[in-house]
Amino acid sequence: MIMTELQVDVGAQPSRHRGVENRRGAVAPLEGDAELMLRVRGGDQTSFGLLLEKHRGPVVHFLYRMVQNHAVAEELAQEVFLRVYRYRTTYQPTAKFTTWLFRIATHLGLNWIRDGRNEKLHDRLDQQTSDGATRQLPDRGRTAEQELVYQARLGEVRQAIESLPSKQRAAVMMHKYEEMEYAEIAQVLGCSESAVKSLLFRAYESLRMRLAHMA
Amino acid sequence: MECPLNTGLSDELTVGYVARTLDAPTIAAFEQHLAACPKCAAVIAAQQEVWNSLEAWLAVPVSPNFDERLLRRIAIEQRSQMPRCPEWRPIGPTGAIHAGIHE
Repeated sequence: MIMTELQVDVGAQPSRHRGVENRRGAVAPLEGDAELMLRVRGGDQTSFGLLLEKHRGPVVHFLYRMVQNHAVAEELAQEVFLRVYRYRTTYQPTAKFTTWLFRIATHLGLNWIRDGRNEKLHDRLDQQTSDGATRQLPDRGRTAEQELVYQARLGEVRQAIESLPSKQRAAVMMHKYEEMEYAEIAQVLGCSESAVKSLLFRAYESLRMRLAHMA
Repeated sequence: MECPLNTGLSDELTVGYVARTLDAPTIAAFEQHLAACPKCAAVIAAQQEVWNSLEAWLAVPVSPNFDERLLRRIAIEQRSQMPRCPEWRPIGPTGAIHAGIHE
């Protein structure tokens, strides 16, 4: 059956409630991700829509912070979900669904960075979207001066992250923004937990040194 | 608590403390140490600055047509994997029906 539509509310805000236990404690899920993916394996397209609804935001945001280009991040995220759908018939719940999902996302992100396509393609903060609308960050009631300071700090943070080796960058993104435990990050990166700690601690030390003047 | 800077546990405690992943007894012991150790307190302050800076890096919202574009890609891939239909040609002089596949 050709997929022509998903039973998903495309107008809804992407949710961070992924039904998986993170460092802050479990979020009560409506359906476990593995259960949904097994249904997708069985041909249930509605379940694919539910997984997409739950995970598109985190995957896009993870890739955005990795590659620092929104258009590229969305293209890579599309590829992530395309692969999830493509390999649905062979899915086995041997690890958490998010581990598998972010393994795909990290692989694609690292490949993109390695292939040297990261050539000054960073989004400028006032960059226009393809439909002409200016993409702006929420101002949160900032004055013009505060906005300038905020943009300057943001630029420094982005440069600091970009200066990290790609695996350190991926580890920080998963640790900080996806709130993954060391063990899960290790499974995503295909290394030991002690190797993940080494990656993370070196990354954070580098960031402390680069951002120390902002304190 | 012995100073983590001397025991090799500084990184793990620093990151865990700022990320709020340490258990309560460890937090209590570490905070007691921080009150008396300016070096460790300085590391914590720097890590907190990093954490706050990362927190402030907001991600741009996902495009509203993300799902639509994904579905189109999936549909294209599925169509490309469908078996081609045989083309039936008119009966020839021998009465045989020839079938061929479009190249």
